[in-house]
Amino acid sequence: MALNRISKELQDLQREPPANVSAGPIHSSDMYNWQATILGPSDSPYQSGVFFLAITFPSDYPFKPPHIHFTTKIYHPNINTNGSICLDILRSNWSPALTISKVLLSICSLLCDPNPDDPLVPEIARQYKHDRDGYNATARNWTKKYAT
Amino acid sequence: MTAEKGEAIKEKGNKHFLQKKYNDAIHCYNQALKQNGEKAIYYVNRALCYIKLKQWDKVYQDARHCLDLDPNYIKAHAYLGQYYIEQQQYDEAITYFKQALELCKIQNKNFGDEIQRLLRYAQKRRFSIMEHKRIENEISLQTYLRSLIQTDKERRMQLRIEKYLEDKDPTQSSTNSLSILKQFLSKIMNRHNQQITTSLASVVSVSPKVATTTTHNNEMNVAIDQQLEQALQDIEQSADQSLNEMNILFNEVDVRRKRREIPEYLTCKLCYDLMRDPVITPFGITYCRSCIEENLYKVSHLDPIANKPLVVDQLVNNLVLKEIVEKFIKENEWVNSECF
Repeated sequence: MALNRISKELQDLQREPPANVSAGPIHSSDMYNWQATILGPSDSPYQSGVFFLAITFPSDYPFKPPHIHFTTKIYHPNINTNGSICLDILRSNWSPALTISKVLLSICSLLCDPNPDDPLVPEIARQYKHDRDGYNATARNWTKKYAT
Repeated sequence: MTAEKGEAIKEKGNKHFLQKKYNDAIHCYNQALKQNGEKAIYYVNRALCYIKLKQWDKVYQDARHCLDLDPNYIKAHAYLGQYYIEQQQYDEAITYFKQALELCKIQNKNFGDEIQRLLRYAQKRRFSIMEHKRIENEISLQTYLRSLIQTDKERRMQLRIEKYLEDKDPTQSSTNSLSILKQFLSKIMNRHNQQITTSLASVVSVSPKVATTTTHNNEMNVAIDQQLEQALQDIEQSADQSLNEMNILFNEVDVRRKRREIPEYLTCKLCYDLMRDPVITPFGITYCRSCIEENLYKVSHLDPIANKPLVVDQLVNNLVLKEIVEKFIKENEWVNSECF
């Protein structure tokens, strides 16, 4: 069941690739482990960066959310140094009607609009709130250093 | 008194069966039969032992015997189905499994997914055999048509040559026409070969001497009137065109058949698979029963698409869609072959 759904999602992704994101299995023999890329949105300090993510599907997908984390370092209030992402739809607000494509697009919009009120890295959240220029500079700097 | 004894022996047989001592179990059922006479359950239990031992003829005998005693014995139907799977007689197997499922409904008994699974397996096997046969038939039809076009081409050419010779010199015999035809055909063959040799030569840059000498030889012994040659070439071309068109047609059919897609409106928004048991929510959205129930148990008490509160009791069978899905399965047997 999970396998069928994952393969169909892959087909859909290949048929209609969404803008600025891509995803697919690392090895064609293992459909449960994917790699994804997100291009840094142009209206954000992550512009022109290429960010890699690892996706692991649970065996009872889509009734459990996929595990997604960044493998590229990124300076963001809701993403920590391990690459863990604080996003409601990946935890309590997961719905089986969501897809990898929709989740990746949500992560894209999280890059544009961080959520400092529910931070994973409080220091970055504080800087984002009170010193936006400083945050932008560091985020740009990290993007240049790790994502290009 | 003896009846009780027979039952006790049967229980002993069942114990042996659970310990996988099938021959001991069979021995006990034999004794029970001697003690209590004909009883369907002894036969059906013994049949299961024979299934485990893969003694299929005996499975058949016992299951049949059981049905003679009690035509509504579900397990006997299922075992006969298994026997027919083993004999690769899938039509019979499917009939018995369907009867078993029907009886399950009537008698309100549940053997889990086992019979359902066996039925799908038999359907899958039957489909792949039919598919294989169909492909073989198509290939032989295509070969046959190709040879027809080929012979027709040669016949038309021969007629054309004969007409030409008749016009030129009515006393000429038809043997001459055959030799001209052969000459023309070999010339075409040579031209093909030459094209291949020259193109090969240009690739590996071998001197094209060999190729030119052969054409030279050819031109020597070919003396066909230009007008006739043109006419023959036209026939050759029209035959080639027919062949091409036929191949394209066959290919198209093949591609269309390989495009095995389930229309989106028949698939569940959760598992993306065909909805074999569709239920509709109060919000008008249809899911597989098992998918939406799993969602309600594991994820949230919400309709995942409508995003509104939902409980199991609100789910209603979507009978119209179920009929449509069943029709679709009937017309697209491959869906059964892809479901596991």
